[in-house]
Formats: sequence, structure tokens, C-alpha cells
Amino acid sequence: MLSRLPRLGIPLAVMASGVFFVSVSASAPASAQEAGKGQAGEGQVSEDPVARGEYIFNAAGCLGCHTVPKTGERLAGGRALKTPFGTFYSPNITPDRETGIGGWSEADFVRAMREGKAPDGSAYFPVFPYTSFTHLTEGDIRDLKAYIDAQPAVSQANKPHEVSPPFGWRFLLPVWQTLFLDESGLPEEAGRDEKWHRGRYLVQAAGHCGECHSPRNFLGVVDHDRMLAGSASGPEGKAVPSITSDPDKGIGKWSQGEIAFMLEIGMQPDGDFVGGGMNEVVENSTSKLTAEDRDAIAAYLKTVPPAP
Amino acid sequence: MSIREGEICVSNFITSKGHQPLDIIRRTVIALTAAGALLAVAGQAGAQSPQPVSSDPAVVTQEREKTMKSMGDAMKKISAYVKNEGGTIDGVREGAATIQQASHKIVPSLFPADTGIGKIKDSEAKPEIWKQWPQFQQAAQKLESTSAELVTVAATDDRAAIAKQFGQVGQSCGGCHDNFRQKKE
Ligand code: HEC
Ligand code: HEC
Ligand code: HEC
Repeated sequence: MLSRLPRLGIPLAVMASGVFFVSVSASAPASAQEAGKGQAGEGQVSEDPVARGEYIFNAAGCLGCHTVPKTGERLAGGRALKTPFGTFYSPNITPDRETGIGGWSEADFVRAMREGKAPDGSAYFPVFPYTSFTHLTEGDIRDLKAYIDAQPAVSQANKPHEVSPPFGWRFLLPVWQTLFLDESGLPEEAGRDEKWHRGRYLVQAAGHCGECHSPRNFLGVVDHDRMLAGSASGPEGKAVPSITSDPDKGIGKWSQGEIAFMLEIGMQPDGDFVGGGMNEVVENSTSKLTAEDRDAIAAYLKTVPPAP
Repeated sequence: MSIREGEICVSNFITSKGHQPLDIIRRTVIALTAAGALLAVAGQAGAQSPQPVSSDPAVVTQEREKTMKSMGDAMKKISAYVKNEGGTIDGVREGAATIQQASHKIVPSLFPADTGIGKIKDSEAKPEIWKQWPQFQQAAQKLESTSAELVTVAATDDRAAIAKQFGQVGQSCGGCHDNFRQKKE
């Protein structure tokens, strides 16, 4: 059964134009193999796509959003995600053919994750953080599909979103997508080692940390120059702290080990424990990564510049 | 100091003064406050206090902050042992006992109604605490049981078992903070 899932924790802000995670990029995605690293232990990549997919699934925190806390069937959807634009209900992503995504081809799935488009071509609301997932490697997305296909099918019809116009108008989404969805992947950065690139991939593509931790402009778009610098209105409109290397506003005073330890169990350097939705991120996602990956995230965060 | 001494002291205070109705009400409030504070002291000495530490919200929130901080300090101490960064097994035992005792104070005495965000300056306690009181109680009970187990495990020197239970206690802290605490900016 599901362990306790505390409430919300939605990267929201979303709508008006999206949670569009704008990326300044134009180059090849990181190696597909890389992301599967870990669950086979000792830095080895598992041979089994389902096992590799489970690792990405955890790193990307798919469970929380797609399952009703405590009472819901795993991945059957229906969790209410409150945003300033209204309430969205996550869909059923079990392999059930009628109510889930059992009938989807691999290409359908890749398109949903990469382009934010349904098999019928309609666009998804960016409350589904595809603006981050678009940076996932194709190999990782295929492994994710293999894992989801291996989960039990649950028959449960989707609930319609309760979002008022114009935010609820799906037909407007393609316009926003052309403006704000950048599918070109994360660019290789010169002078940075493999660990740093891995950390960035886990933060920006899989972990979608910026969906909560980055400020947004008036269109609801993540402000790229102030990446991870905190948000005045994260999930449920509540403030989310900065996690840049700023020593005062951010976590510049934390050691790399302290950051990694927080990601493992939720403890801050002073013995206090995170809440406000972050505990769920720790429980469902970062605590399930390898120590090596948590360390890579910490190493990357130490290099994120303070907001100007 | 015992509760009985406190009561005597309070009644002396009331009877020794004037009798106008309003005055009596005012004095009774003050007296109850004093009694509450004494109960809190008694509670800290080991027994569980059966009611709010005080009817004065400022005193309650102070006590709440102190209790929570004491748990934070204890977790920090235990983590030093778990991470093998200079902590001792005695520190673990002490810390586990502190948390277990504190956990029993949360529901009965630290969160009387109207002592959250918007009511008390700087409070981080969400109104959901009182709207979803049974869930809040469950969250506190979870800490009661995970910390009791930590006390048991800490009686051994099994670092791995202690580390595991430390994680469970941490999830009890974080689980409640996820739902019922909103950090100020
Ligand atoms: C922040 C919450 C959130 C997270 C995290 C999240 N999703 Fe979703 N997902 C949603 C919402 C909400 C929708 C519906 C979007 C819409 O209706 O436009 C959705 C839609 C989908 C769809 C389309 C389903 C359909 O029936 O059309 C798929 C597939 C999907 N998500 C898979 C995933 C996977 C895989 C992950 C992890 C990598 C994930 N989601 C993580 C919220 C989330
Ligand atoms: C669902 C929204 C959400 C997501 C996704 C999220 N966080 Fe957080 N995070 C928060 C909130 C809210 C807090 C404040 C915690 C508190 O109030 O105790 C926080 C706190 C933190 C802190 C501690 C900051 C401090 O000053 O105490 C760190 C470090 C952190 N998050 C890192 C991450 C990383 C790394 C990721 C991606 C793997 C991530 N977060 C994803 C919401 C989120
Ligand atoms: C049943 C719910 C609950 C549990 C369990 C819980 N807390 Fe808290 N904690 C809160 C709430 C609510 C606040 C905010 C109180 C306020 O500001 O009025 C808080 C505040 C805190 C603070 C900040 C105190 C301050 O104002 O400086 C610390 C530190 C803390 N908790 C540590 C812990 C630790 C460590 C644990 C686990 C050993 C824990 N808490 C378990 C509900 C809980």
C-alpha cells in the first residue's frame, strides 16, 4: 500500500501561460543511459528497463501527483491540484485500456512527456510539468513507459478539471506552448564535470525542482535569470524558499553534505525538518535516489548563482 | 514545584483582593493564566499536562516554540551519531527521550484553538490544524510511536537500526510540517 502522502505539493502557478520552464538551450541531451544509473547498485546501469524506469519514476516524483493521498489506488489519478487558476485533477496513468493509458504507443507517451500533447493532438495544461520533463532523455522516457506498463491496471474514470475561463480553455494552450516550451534539451556546459551535469539533469529535467522553487513572471512563466531563487507563490499560493548559493537568501551556507542529507531524510542543518510539501518530495523522490545522485544534486545546487 | 502548591498560591491571590464582578473576572483570568503556567512547569517535570500550557496565547506559542526547538536540537544530536560525525550513544538516548516526552505534549497542551497564523504574530501554525484536528492528532501520535521505538532501539548500540528509526522519526516531523506548518518568508 501507499505510505502516507501528505497533501499537495503542486508546481502550479501554471496556467495563464504555463509553468513554462524556459530553457536557453540548443544541444544534445545527456546520455540516455546515465539516468538509469544507480538502482542496479555500485553505479551500474540495470539491464532491465522496468527497473531503470522505476528509478526515473521516483526521481521525477510521478507518484504523488497521480495518486490520491492515503485512500487512492496507486497511479489511478484524481488528486486535486489547487492552483490560483482553479483545481486540476490528475488523470489515471495506469495501463487500464479504457480509463488509463493502456492503449498508448511508445510514441504517444514520448510526445506527451516531450511536447505536452495528447494522442489526439490536444495540448496539456502545464500543471503536468512537461516543461521540465521535456529535457528527459528519450531513453529515460521509454524506460518510464516500461515501468508504468508493468504496474497494475486500475479502472477509474478521470475527473474533469474545475478551472474557469480563459484558463480552462485547452485550445489556447498551443499558443503558449510555442512561446514557452523549449524541447531542445539541456546544453552541455564547458568546464563542468559529469557529476555536475548529472545533478543539473536531476534538478531541472527529472526533479522539476524549479516548478516550485523558481519565481515566475506575470505570465506564470519561470523566470530563467532567477532560477531556483524562490517563489512568492508556489503550491497553494504559498512562498517557497530560494535554493541558490546565495548565503543569506539561499542555501549558500549549507555544506554539500548537509544538502545531500536533507534530500535523504528532510533534516535541515539546525535539526528542523522541512514541510510545506517538500517533505513529500523527500519521501517520494529524493530519499529513493542513490547517495551518489543526491550528492550530484547537492554539488550542482552549490553552483547555482544567486539571483541578480 | 507541584500543582497543588500552585493552586494554593492562586486562590490566595484571588481571595486577598477586591470583589467587584468585573474585577473578579479579570482576576480569575489572570489566576487561570498563572495556574496554566504552573501546570506547564509541572508537565515539563515529567507528568503530562492535561490541558493547554496557558490560556495566554503568547505563553502557549512560546512554549510551543521551545518544545519544537528542543526536538530539533535532539534530532541534530542524534544525526551526529547516525552520520558518525562525533555524536555519542548517550546523546542519542538523551535525545530520543526528549523527543518522546515532548511528543506527548503536542496535542494536549501546545495547540489550543486560535493560536495559529493570523492570530499570533510570527506563528507558522496553519489553520488546518484546527479544521482537521483528527489528522493533526494522528500526526502527533505517529511521532509518539516512532520516538518510543527510537528510545527502545537506542538502548542497543546498533547504529544501523538507530539510523533507520531516526529516519522514521524524521518522517513524522516532516509529515506534520508538510500539512500543518507554513514557514514565514
Ligand atoms: C505536479 C503534478 C504532476 C506530476 C509531478 C506529474 N504529473 Fe502527469 N499529469 C498531471 C496533470 C494535472 C495532468 C493532466 C494535464 C491536463 O489535463 O492537461 C497530467 C497528465 C499526464 C499524462 C497524460 C494522461 C492522459 O490521460 O492524457 C501522462 C501520461 C502523465 N501525466 C504521466 C506522468 C509521468 C510519467 C510523470 C512523472 C515523470 C508525471 N506525469 C508527473 C500532473 C502531474
Ligand atoms: C512541490 C513543490 C516543491 C518541489 C517540487 C521541490 N521543493 Fe524544495 N521546498 C519546497 C518548499 C515548500 C520548501 C520549504 C520547506 C519548509 O517550509 O519547511 C522547500 C525547501 C527546500 C530546501 C530547504 C531550503 C531552506 O532554506 O530551508 C531545499 C534544499 C530544497 N527544497 C531542495 C529541493 C530540490 C533539490 C528539489 C528537486 C529535487 C525540490 N526542492 C523540489 C517545495 C518544493
Ligand atoms: C503534529 C505536528 C508536528 C510534529 C509531529 C512536529 N512538529 Fe515541529 N512544528 C509543528 C508546527 C505546527 C510548527 C509551527 C508552530 C508555530 O509557529 O506556531 C512547528 C515548528 C517547528 C520548529 C520551529 C520552532 C520555532 O518557532 O522556532 C521546529 C524547529 C520544529 N517544529 C521541529 C520539529 C521536529 C524536530 C519534530 C520531530 C522530532 C517536529 N517538529 C514534529 C508541528 C509539528
